[in-house]
Amino acid sequence: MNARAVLGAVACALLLGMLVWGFAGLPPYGHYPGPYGTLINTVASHERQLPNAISAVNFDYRGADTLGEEFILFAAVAGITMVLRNDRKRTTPEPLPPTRGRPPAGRTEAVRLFSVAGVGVTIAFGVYLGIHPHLTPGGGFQGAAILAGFAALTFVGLGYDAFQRIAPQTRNEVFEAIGAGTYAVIGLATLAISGAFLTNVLPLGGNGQFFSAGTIPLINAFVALEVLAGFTLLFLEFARETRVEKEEEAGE
Amino acid sequence: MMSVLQAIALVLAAVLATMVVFTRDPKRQIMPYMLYGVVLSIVFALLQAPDVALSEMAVGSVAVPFAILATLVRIDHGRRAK
Repeated sequence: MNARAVLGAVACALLLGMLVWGFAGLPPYGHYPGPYGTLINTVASHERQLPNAISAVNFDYRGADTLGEEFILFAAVAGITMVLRNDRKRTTPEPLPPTRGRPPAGRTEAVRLFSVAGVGVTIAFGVYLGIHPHLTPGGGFQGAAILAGFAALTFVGLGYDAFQRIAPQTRNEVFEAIGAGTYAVIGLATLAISGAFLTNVLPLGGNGQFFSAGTIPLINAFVALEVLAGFTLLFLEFARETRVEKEEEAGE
Repeated sequence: MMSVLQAIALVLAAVLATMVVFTRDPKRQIMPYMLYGVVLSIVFALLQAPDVALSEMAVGSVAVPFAILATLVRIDHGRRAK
């Protein structure tokens, strides 16, 4: 055995030991030890007037954490966009030719049918999840991520041209910025009104009502906007990577 | 207590995860990866974490494979002409 194999074996054995040690210290399956979740479950329904306590944690009690996560997504999309655009010239709608193997057979009827049929389901399910963060599981992130799947489906089922028409670059860039920025603005506004960042200052309404839970559905709406625009922009940038570039444009 | 469904889903997740690791061709790896995402979201749903299940469904079985596929097409074409 050479030195590398020895080093690898020792590292694996150490890692295995740590894992076994760690798993041995876990609480029994299905037993939640912490007080935090139990506490939230008992107070959130009354304090914030909503049945879905998870959204109360995400957008209210720990709203500042979600703001940070919001900007992680924002930075990730901006980073990918910058890296991919950096050495790309103007793209044409023409797909890259295959380098080897059989030529593309084109889009079959089955792919077209399932994609177009999926568009309606995707939009309905995404919107349903996105507008009920305080009432049912899901919310802005999940709803918008599924809704953005609609853009991906358009690309798969109808092609690049249709995809680019329904997901124009500028609109997505603007909406993503508005979504991320408004969350921070809401935080600052609540800070000015109540003296604490992201305090739930709006009327809470009645538990289980569509218009209830104060700032939670409002913040959720802007999260949804940011996630929808961010994911769509991501799909657009990756889809452009599969297109032929115009050579002489934007001379180097 | 772990239910039978949870046990089945966890075993399936382990099997698919192993399949993902042992599929060495990235183009072939996408399929097991997507299925792994679906099984993982079933695991989350059975563990009463529907929020996480929905996120995993959207990101693991749509967004990531989309990005990987597009990347593979581009890599196939080698470096860009400068």
